[in-house]
Amino acid sequence: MSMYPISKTVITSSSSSVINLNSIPSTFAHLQLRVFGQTNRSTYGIDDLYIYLNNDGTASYSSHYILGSGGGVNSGSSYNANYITMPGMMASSTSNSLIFGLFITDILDYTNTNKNKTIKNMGGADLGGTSAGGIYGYLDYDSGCYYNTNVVNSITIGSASGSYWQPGTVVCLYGIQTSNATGA
Amino acid sequence: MSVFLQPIYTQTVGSGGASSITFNNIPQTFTDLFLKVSARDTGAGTQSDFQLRFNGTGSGVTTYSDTVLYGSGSSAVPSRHSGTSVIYISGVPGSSATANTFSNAEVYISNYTSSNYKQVVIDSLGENNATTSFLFIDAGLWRDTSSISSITVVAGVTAIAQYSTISLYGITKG
Repeated sequence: MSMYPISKTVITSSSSSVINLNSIPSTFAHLQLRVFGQTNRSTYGIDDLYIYLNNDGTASYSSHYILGSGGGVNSGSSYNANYITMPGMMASSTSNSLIFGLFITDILDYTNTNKNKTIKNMGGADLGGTSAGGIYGYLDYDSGCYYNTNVVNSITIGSASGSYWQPGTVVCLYGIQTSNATGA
Repeated sequence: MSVFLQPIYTQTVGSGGASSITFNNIPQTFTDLFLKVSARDTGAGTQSDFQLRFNGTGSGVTTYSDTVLYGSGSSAVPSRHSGTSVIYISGVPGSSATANTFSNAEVYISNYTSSNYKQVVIDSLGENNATTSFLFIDAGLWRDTSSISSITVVAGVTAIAQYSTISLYGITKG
């Protein structure tokens, strides 16, 4: 078995717009984060998220995305930014309190001190055919990079609107190992 | 007990780079195969199209094809290749991209021992601290009924850069 659970965080009260995963062990090759969640953003049924690493909120990040709404698709970017952006990634309770969003984040070679940390995020939320603030759902696929070669030891996920994470949100972090055999 | 994700091989590129990485003698005991690619090209450009080939097929074949959606940071574009000799793993940073920045790509190869054609799904991206950087989603096909016993990844421009890592996993269903 090469994929191991590192931590599971369950939100039980709506009191913070950020989730911190600290003290990540350095014993794996790759990390995978799986988030099933909801924020309490008002007006819109979808919330934008951000992510940063090692508690570093300085201008050390870039991100690029493909965002599909069901009615169209577009691409955008940010750079020299304070975090990696994840537009349209999460459901909010404004649409339906039973609808949660889902995304998966992969961070490769997170302990390699020769590499900046390149991240992939994929996920979104469908609102069941009901518009909330003119939005029916989003599918988001995005890249991000933390321009720092330090080992990743913490991950912070936040609501870009400052909305609070809702009870029922579950954040699971996994570590993935590799083989020593080369097959060359 | 069945093992969901089993590490098979890993190769890390040393100083001087490598023109390609090949995994040979792939065990035939899994249902699917899975690659994780953290790589960079030493060649010019902000992004490189790495090439994926199976069972030692060379540039003379025309049995590969793929259907692609990619984003550049300003637009999202559909694309397609057919009758090609490779499936592309695109978006790998080149030497013009921000230094020390590598790709984050996954290649899922379904039913690699079956006697059907081989379907592949790839998500591949790099990064660059600028407006433009590329991310791809790719459905690729190898029109061959052979079981896959070796996988080769070839640099798109010049060479696979030092510290690049490609890991192969086997996936068992049920």
